[in-house]
Amino acid sequence: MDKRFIKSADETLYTYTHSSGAKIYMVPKKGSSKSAAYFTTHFGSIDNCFIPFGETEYICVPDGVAHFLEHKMFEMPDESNIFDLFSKYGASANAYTSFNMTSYYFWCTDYFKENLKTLVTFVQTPHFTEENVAKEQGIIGQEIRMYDDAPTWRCYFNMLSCMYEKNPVSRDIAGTVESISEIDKDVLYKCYNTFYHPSNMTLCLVGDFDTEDMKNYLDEILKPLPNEDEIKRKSETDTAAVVCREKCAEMSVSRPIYAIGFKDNFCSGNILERRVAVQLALNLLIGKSSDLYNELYESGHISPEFGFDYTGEKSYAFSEIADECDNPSYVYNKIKAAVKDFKVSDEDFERIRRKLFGKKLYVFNDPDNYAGALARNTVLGLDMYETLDLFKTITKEDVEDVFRTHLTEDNMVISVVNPLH
Amino acid sequence: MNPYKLKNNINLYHIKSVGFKTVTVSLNIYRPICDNASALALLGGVLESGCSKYPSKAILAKHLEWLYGASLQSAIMKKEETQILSVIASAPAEKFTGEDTLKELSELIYEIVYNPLLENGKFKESVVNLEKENLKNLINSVVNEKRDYADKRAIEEMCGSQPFAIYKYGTMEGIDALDSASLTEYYNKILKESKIDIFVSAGEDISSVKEVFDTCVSNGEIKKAAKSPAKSEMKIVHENMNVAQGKLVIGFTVSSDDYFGTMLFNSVYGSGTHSKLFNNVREKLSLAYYAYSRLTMQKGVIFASAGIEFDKYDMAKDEIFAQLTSVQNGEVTDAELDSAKKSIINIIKSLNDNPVSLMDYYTGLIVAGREVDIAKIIDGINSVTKEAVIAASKTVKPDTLYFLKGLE
Repeated sequence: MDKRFIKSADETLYTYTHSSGAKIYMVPKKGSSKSAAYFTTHFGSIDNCFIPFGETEYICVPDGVAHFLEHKMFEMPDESNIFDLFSKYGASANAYTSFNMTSYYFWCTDYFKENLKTLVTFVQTPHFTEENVAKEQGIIGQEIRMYDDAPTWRCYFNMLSCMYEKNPVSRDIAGTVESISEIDKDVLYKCYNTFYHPSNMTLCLVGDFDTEDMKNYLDEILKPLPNEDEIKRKSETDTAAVVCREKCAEMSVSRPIYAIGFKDNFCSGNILERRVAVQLALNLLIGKSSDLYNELYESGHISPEFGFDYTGEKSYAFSEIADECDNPSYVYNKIKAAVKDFKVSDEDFERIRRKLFGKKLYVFNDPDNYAGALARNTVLGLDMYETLDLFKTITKEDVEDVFRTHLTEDNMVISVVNPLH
Repeated sequence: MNPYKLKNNINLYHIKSVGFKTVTVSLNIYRPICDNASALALLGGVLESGCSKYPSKAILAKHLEWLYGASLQSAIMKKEETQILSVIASAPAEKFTGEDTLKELSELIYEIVYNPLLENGKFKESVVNLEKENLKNLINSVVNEKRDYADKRAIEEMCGSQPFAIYKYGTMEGIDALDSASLTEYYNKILKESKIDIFVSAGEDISSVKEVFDTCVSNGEIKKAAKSPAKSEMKIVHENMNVAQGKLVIGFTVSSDDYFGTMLFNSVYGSGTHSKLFNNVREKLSLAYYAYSRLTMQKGVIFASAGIEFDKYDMAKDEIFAQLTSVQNGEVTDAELDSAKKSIINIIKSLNDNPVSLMDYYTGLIVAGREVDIAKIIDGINSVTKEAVIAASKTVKPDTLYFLKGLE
């Protein structure tokens, strides 16, 4: 077991690879009330074309399979409901599916071991039948309907489809009512056998426990499977250019909702470095202390919903600025003008660097948030602690480079959801 | 937990958080929601726009950024029939910044609340006007989230002229009636006539916080909410909108005064994955992705909600009522009650790791007139019997059914 002390966060991380191939990450937190565990597979909505375990040819699966599988994992062969078992030991449990991963987790204040056993056991026990697949189509159908009525969600995906056409990232994580109707138990087993192998998974634990004790316990409860070769995935890619500049929809909303995107064609090099540089750039451009933000605020173009973020992954990367306001094209044009020849001052750079470093510390307070962040990073092979140091080494030139290569007019798109006529 | 009493009646609640990376300070101002909900909501926005020391949003933002990304916000909450303006600030602890961030945050909140930006003795006209527009847009935007909208409409239909029906951000008319003179007058009044509390999440030494707020005054009590009276016949309201999914909200009155019995009833009935609504409306009949109930104790109301297909209306409605009947008929297993207890206790105990959530929970207890004592609450939950849950369920009566459905 490797032990690593991270000075800038005052945290200690223990890691090792279990004989099954699962990577284990543990952070003991003496005196915390909660303990949390995340069991995560590198399998998300974009992984829809791959060579199944034990086969030689690529297959394509319907949109929404990863999310569907997530729902079905909670079913057990003895027809019991796994939530009942978590309830018995007082844990709050759930799961989520994103573009590139599926995570199962719980947090509790007592019975950590019992709950950990439940988590590990149910994720390693698939049970799909025609009946339980059909039942889930009803529940997920309602989840999709709920999102159909969510204007910010629709706006977000329309923005993505301005940037990507073939890349599955522009399609809804849960799929559509039509696509999930094509899902059957055989597809689920193929995905399960391929992606839920421990060597494609990480287990992250944060809380009040003893690491040696936990390691021994995991040997008891994790299935001892042989290591598997790396999974072969295929994903369709787009050209560097945006697909279209603008997309509009109409829904029952009080006023227009918009998402302005900048496509990023960054695909090699250090993802963490890029994330830090772009976050700095976005803060300098339109953070709360920027001239642009304050000009827009004072002219009534900013609501409490205003926000921006950068998503930087291997096969897709983009910045998003989202809000609601009466005149989204006014905001679009202001941003377009501001990114041109953007100048970074030394003082602003220093201040934002301090800010973003400080913001990164919050995640270490709550074991549930902490384990979740650890899971999101480790399953992609990223080191979240490295980010803290990157804020010290990043330079003004790195940020200026973002304004040359990413935050440019060419990469810009806008998606608007207007009120119904 | 016994709060520390400052000189002029302010309660200071100290949450000792030794292992935390951050410190948090908040100040609550409590008002009866029927007093002037629009004015308190507007005040929140105006105070957040700057103070005499940091006289604009940009200058304030820069100060927060230098403080290693400190956050400052004014939040408006409604609990029972009390409206709360909470000014809350967090920042990395001294250990990571080398600066006395706890003192900095306390001073910042003090400045924001007690030394606002004034021009000729009044709030700046331009700031007030801008925040009035922002607040009106905020109220209008509730329709964007259909679940929130349905909840709001159900409360309005059920509670009509009771203070509980007032939205936490007030009303359009209420906002229109305000200007910088009347808002300033309101501000001066409420600082003299309101109950005010301070919460701190930090290590052992909080002397700097005590010092900063020592001269501030708390004056007034929280008015207890009256139980919502039961209607003789259930009111049914259907509303049409261009939506893909129907939102069903059923409001019940609950007249029981048994605090823990009612809490456990609600948990068994509809709050969590162990509950009857989750297991029947969702898991068994697969009618919904979400199906749950929420309790407001002092007011004596419970709202059950589910997102469903329009044509499953009868089925979902019948099932929500059938599950209530089953509890009333005594169909509560030991496992259900045990899971309900463990679920609530797990949530309460875990609040320790999240200062903002814990402050919110404390605020709820204070408004409900309960003692802020987690250990006693856990004892209370553990002592609830099946009979108490059934007895509480028998005081639950359907009151108002609200259904948001598509255009016909």
